Amino acid sequence: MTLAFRSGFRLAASRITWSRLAVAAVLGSMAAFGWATAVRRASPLSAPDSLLSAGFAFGLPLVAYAIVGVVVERAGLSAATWPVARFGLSRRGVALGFGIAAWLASLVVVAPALALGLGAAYRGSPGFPSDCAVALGLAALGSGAYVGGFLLASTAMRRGRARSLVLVLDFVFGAGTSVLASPWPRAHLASLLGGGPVMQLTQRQSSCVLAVVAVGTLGWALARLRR
Amino acid sequence: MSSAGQAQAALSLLRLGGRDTLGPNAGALGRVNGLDWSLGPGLHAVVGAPADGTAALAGLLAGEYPPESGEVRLRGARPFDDATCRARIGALLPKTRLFGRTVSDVVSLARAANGGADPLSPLGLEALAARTVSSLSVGEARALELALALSHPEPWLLVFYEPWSLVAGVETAALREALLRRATDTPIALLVSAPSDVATLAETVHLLDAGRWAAADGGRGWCARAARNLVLVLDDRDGVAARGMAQALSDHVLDARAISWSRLDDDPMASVVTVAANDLEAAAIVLVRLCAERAVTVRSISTPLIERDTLLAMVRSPHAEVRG
Repeated sequence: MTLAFRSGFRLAASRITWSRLAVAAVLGSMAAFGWATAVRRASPLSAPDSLLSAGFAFGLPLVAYAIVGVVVERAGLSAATWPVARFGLSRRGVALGFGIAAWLASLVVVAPALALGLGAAYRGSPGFPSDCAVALGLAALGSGAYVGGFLLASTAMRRGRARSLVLVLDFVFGAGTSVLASPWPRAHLASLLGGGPVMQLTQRQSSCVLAVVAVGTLGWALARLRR
Repeated sequence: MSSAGQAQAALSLLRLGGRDTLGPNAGALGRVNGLDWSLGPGLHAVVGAPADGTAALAGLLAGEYPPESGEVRLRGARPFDDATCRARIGALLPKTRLFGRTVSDVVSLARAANGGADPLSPLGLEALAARTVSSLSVGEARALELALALSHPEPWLLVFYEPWSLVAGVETAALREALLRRATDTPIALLVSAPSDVATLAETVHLLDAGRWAAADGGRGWCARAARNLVLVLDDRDGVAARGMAQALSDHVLDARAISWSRLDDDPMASVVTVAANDLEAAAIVLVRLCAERAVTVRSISTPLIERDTLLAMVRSPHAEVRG
């Protein structure tokens, strides 16, 4: 299992590549910086909130979606593990390596963008360090939930095309706060950023839901794979 | 056509159906339907085009693709479901998917997973060791996969898809020798599109056409390496007697390498049972005893050896002619 996990992690890393990651991080940071600067000009007080809302509603899911797509080579999760699983290593161990690698890669792209964007939004105003720390924590939680969800979706439909479906459903249903919104990370992340509570859940409970979604979907994805 | 079991069969296909993902948008290039096959140690060839299902069959045997129906059983385990079973399969598949930055990385991973000796030296591929995987041509990558499969220390099954095509730097003679050496204790499935690749090498040959067995040794097919096949033609209107004989033979001919049965295409009242065994005399005695016990009328028993040219003419002729 350890060899399978390590090999899965390295296989995922070899597919993502540092250069792609660096380009994505730079482009993401530039976009966040540009957004925050533009919003700050119009409304300095709402710039941080605006940046975080946009970042967590659109940026984070799209980054996780793209990274998981690259890790599984836009195929199904089972097929993506084949280069390593062919040697008799557990597909589940390999997929776990995929999940951790994709989660870390999402953070590598999102974290600098958030930090730079928030820096531009605050521009020396107090509150930057604490907001930045909270945002990075949310990014870690949200990335985990999205990566797990997309990996689970990669086990369904031909070539894991359910990934796109999950992205759309999260966008549509995650915009609300009703029971339909409850499984979708977007709704809970919005709640944690000060939006309406999902099904009257507290922010602490929403955090727990995100953690459960992250671990649960990843576990479910692994369980759907044959050894 | 159906193929019955074999004593001590290491690999069994039971009504196997499945497809590859080599077509556009990961669609199927070829698929197989309801294949029955049992084989033990030895070289067993399947002749057919990728669109006839050879590529799908290779992936199904190696555990790359899940069966859509039926199952693959390798020593009781299913390769797709069981990592331990996959660890004992060496395979050269249609699509090379090597993981690692360098060839040494690939070799290290294979050896960490399966153990085994240096795979490159026996085939004279030492020069690849220092290369990066991305620098390998398709032929070199296939040669590396071939070497990895052949160097497996204790394989339960070796699967080679077109081992003579697009494989760079491997001598044909060295490959034949290596295959024959491994075949003494390991079932080897050779999936090829040219019958000439296996005509003098394989012990049993099956022709795959549109996902089904169209011919096999002795049926409307041919005898492969050495005349170690007994072909029995029975009076049999519906194939029941032939099927029953094939099953009984699999229990009684202990050194059988393969047993198959088929309807005789040009005579609806007859069926053919073919036995490939090391001791043909012993097999013939068992066969006669079983025929007597089962009151089966035997039209002929023979050990045919069809000439290579005849075989080529058969396989190159339109499919309708091959199938009768």
